[in-house]
Amino acid sequence: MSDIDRDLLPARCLIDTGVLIRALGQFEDEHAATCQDFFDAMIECKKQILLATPVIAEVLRGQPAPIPRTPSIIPVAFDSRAPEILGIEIPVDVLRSESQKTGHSRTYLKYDAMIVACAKRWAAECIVALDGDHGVLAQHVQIPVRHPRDFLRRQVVIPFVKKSGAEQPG
Amino acid sequence: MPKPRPNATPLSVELQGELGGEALSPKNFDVVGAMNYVSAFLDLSAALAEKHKEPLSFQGLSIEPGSVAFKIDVDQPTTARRLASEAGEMVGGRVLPPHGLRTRVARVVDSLSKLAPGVTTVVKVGRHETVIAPPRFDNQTRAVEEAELRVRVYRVGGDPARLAVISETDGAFTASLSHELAEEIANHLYKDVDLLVIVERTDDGRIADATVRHFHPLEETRDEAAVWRQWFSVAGSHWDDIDNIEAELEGETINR
Repeated sequence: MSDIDRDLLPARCLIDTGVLIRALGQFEDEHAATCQDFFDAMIECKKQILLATPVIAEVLRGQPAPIPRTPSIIPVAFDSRAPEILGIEIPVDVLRSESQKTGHSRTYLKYDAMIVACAKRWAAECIVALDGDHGVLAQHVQIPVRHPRDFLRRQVVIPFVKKSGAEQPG
Repeated sequence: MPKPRPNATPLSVELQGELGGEALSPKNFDVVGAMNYVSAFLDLSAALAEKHKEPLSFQGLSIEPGSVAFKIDVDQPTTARRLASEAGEMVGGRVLPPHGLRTRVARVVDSLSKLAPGVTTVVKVGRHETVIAPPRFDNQTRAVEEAELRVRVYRVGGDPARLAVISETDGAFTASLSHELAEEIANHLYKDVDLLVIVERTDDGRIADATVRHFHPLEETRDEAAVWRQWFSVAGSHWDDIDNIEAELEGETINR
């Protein structure tokens, strides 16, 4: 049974490449089961998952096959409006400073920035990703970044109840 | 006998302006068009209240003598004022309607567009006034691009054929299309499709006009996740040999 709490799911989110690959593939690392459960729960609950075209480009490694067109999964393009978001809200100074802080190349960060711009352009409620790379960039477009485990059911706290008549210590 | 309702405040939905060079009056207004608009607006307000889980009750209806103002009593004037402003923002295309309200907003826009060009509409609650007007498009379109948009089809027909759709992010817009495409897309009325369109956008990014090139209906499947996993097993098959996804992605991007 899935441990995803349906009430926590976003109405419309954009998922990152690492989450998508684990949700669809046969991986068995520590995140794979949560990514699959999250993906399945979003579909079951008729929520919307956005796939940015840069994410799809990263995933494509195999035989050519037409992208499915289904109700819950919406491929979204880096179209004419997304670059405006990128240029205005995540300017090159931000990429330069993040590159210095994180050690990632600016090319790598530009790719992440394109994905973040798609999230803003296509009105995602949040970005669901495994690593924190999107976090700083997404702050600039006021979109939260969530880990798939954020949607897991919370642990229930069971209060300790003293048994009546039990011997008191001391 | 009904109890008096001391808190009731009139909410007035007014049509103003000119019709055929004469001031709009009870003698010359389009009754069906006006009632259609008033009904659409009240329906949107009630749905907005429900969405916010706030009580909002409309009681009674009268027409102010000598005017085209429809008066309805509301018990929650503060809520009604706020929701009228919110509805005005959505109808004007300045705020994206939330899930479940897009069709209602489109109905208000549609009913407004059928009123005569010189007619304007105002909602008054006490001294608070909100102009309810559809988005204004200028003819100075900024850019033409080919786009693919997930849209809900809600009207198609006419000669030349026009298609009316709502997009989650780009709002309601209409597009021209061939008779053949119109006939095909009519089978998907009130359903979502992926539309391949040439769009013309205004400076603020709204779609001023569009032409449909092609469309893709969505797959009707009981197991959507399985459809995508099947696709990945073909299109992403090389990932099976990768142990560290993140290192692979980072390396791929850095080496590009």
